[in-house]
Amino acid sequence: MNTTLPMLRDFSDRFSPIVVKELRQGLRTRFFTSALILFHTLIILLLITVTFGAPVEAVNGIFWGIAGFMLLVVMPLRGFAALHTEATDGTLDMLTLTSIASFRILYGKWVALYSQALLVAGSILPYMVARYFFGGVEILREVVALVVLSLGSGIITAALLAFSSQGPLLLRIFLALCVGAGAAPLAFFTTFLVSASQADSMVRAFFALDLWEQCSLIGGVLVLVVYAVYYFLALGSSRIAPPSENHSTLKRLIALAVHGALMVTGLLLCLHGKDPDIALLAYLPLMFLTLIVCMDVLTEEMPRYSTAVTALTRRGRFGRLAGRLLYPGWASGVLFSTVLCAMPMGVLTGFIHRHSSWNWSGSPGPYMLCLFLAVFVPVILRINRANAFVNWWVVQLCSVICGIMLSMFCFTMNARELGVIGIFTPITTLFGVECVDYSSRDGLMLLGCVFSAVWLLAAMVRAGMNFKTYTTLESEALQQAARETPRTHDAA
Amino acid sequence: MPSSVSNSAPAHEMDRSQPAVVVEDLHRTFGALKAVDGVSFSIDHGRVVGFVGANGAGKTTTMRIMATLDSPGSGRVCMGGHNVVHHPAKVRRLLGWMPDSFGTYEHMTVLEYLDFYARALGFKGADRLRRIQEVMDFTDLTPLADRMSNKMSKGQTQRLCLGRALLHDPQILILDEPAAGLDPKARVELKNLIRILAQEGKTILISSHILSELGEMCDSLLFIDKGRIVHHGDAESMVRGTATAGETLVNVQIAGEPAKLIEWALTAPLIKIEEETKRGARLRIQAADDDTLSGVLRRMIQDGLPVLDYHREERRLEDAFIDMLGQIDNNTFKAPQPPAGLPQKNAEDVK
Repeated sequence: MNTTLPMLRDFSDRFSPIVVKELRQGLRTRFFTSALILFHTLIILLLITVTFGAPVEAVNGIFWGIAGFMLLVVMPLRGFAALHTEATDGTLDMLTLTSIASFRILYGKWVALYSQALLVAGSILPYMVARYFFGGVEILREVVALVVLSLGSGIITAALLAFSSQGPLLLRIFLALCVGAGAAPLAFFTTFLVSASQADSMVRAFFALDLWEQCSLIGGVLVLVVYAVYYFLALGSSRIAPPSENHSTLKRLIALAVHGALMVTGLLLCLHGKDPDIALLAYLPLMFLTLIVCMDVLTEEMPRYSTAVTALTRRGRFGRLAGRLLYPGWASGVLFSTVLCAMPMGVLTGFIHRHSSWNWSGSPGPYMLCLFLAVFVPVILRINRANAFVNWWVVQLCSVICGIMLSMFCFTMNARELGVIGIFTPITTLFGVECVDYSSRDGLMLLGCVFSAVWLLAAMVRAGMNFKTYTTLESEALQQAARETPRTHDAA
Repeated sequence: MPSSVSNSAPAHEMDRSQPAVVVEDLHRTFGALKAVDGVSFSIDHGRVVGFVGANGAGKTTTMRIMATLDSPGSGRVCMGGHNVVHHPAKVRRLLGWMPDSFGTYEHMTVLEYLDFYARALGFKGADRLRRIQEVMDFTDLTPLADRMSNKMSKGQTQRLCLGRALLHDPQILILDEPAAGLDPKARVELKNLIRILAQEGKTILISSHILSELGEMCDSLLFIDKGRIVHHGDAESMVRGTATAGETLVNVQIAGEPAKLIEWALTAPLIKIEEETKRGARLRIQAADDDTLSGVLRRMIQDGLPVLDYHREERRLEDAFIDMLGQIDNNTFKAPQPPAGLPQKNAEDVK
């Protein structure tokens, strides 16, 4: 040996290698240290202004604005190009060749990024306490706001990491904007918590609920957060994994389990809880997440190798039947998405049933139904044949643009009745309904739902035609199993 | 000079009853492009095989499939007896992969870089440090332990990449253009490292554009063109097989402008210009007997050319490769017999 190397003792063996790598790199980057110093400088300056008599409410707003921007935008944005950079630098190949599974790669990156975000969130606490002593601060609401921001930061980081596997920069920017739009309610909710006086009544309404309702709500939200993070990471990992691996079945099983559990809890809260409105508010994110899960499974490539279906095929006829729902690929994804969408729709139906002042057609039900049916349209419309993921987003974007143009046409030409043209796709239906007279809306919405269901039926027919791919792969998997069994016996 | 890098830990599971590498009727397309079109070959344990082909011939795609980084369209690839599609994890344990271009990480030293990959490969505690030390000694990276991994020269980076590929003591190494962009000194160092690895009995598949080096290092060569293997054999059989009977290459240098020689060669019978050089040209004379060759020299002097040097050249591997590609295009290529134990299928497949 030439010379003895120094032992690297900064991280224990118990840490995931990816976490170690990301933390070693992340804590040395100028971006993190600069952002942290800038953040603290701003906060300190802000607190100094209070001592000079600045209004506390305004300072509170700015304080939470900076904290929210840091936790919901700056810290998660570090994952924006994480996987893309690894892929273009060729380091992703190196990682694939180690024993680290693709999910662990993403998980490690997320843990490293999120722990840095938590570091920032933790550093806010002393300032919260200081402001509490200055007065005008409701500490419980502020703690809840910080928790909401921290949880939101975790979800946004996971989402940006997942979408960073996409190659085209424009697509990644578009997806990041979508994530931003999805995260906007979190920012509004935080603002509401720390500044609006109605927040007190909401807190009181929460404490007025029975214990089982409180536990269900908090538990449901936490499960939803953990699941959202898991799902985004699983989505990203399945996009970077070799095509011979099956990442879809486990992802779908977990999706079914979580949706099932949340549906049961949601229905209980809606039907037997004291305040169904709170239940619906808590379960709205589930519906948003369902749309993302559907987008993911409907844009999966059909499997090319029998290894993707081996596990279920070996479980006999029941396994093969379950495979039509759980095998990777968009064809089984059509059935899976249908089942999945039915679950939040069930919660919504329960809520409408409980809400005495609402009927189905006048409720958010048809709107949600249209949104769920919209996920199937790209299965039929193939604008971009090379990349199903890009195709999905392009079709949805085109639908929105068509809807906007329809609305503009109806209003500028003063021909509101032409909103009926929108019924041909689910998204344009939503725009068309807004164009027509109030009295015609329910009828048009119903017609739109019927037309939109045709997309689902067409997607199912197309999926059924592609099921023969699964049949072929199942035969190959069984042949492979038969070939391997004698070899195993020989070895024994 | 490093002596050995073999791990003291037991070697990974490898079926030695089968060849180390088996590729059968491999196909891979990207859209309309057939990147790999029915490639078949096998490599026995402990052999060093060169993989040669022009850019876009299908080398990297084939190697990536062998390394489980891409999936075959059809066909079978087994590494150490394990199918790359069905048992990628087993294959990865046996395999060291060094790509043609690879990135290092920012804000990470050489030691941390290797430490990260050693962790990822499952090494723990003192075992990990011992293994990193062995690899760094072998690749002579110990003095660079604290250097940022993205601030090194190309040669040092290649050594780091080789070190990373050797961490888990793989039995099969796939090296894609390891010498590309290296200066002569770094190239010699890399060649020495590969030679030691070959002596340790590792199976090595190495692609390169520098054919003379491959000829020296490799037991046999695989030539690929347009996604198909056009030759599998040793360098000598390649040179012999593509040589046109009754032709000789002669290197001529003259005093003064080489244009005179070119002008003369253009009008002379039986002579073709193979390549212009700084002080003359390489000429292809359509004769192999001494009388004709000395007659050509005599005629040059008679015609007033100031000849300084005139000597018969041994055929180079590069010439053989270029000739072979030309012969394939003209449908006149006859593949030479591969050495014993090597499959013949694709040699006969050539159009």
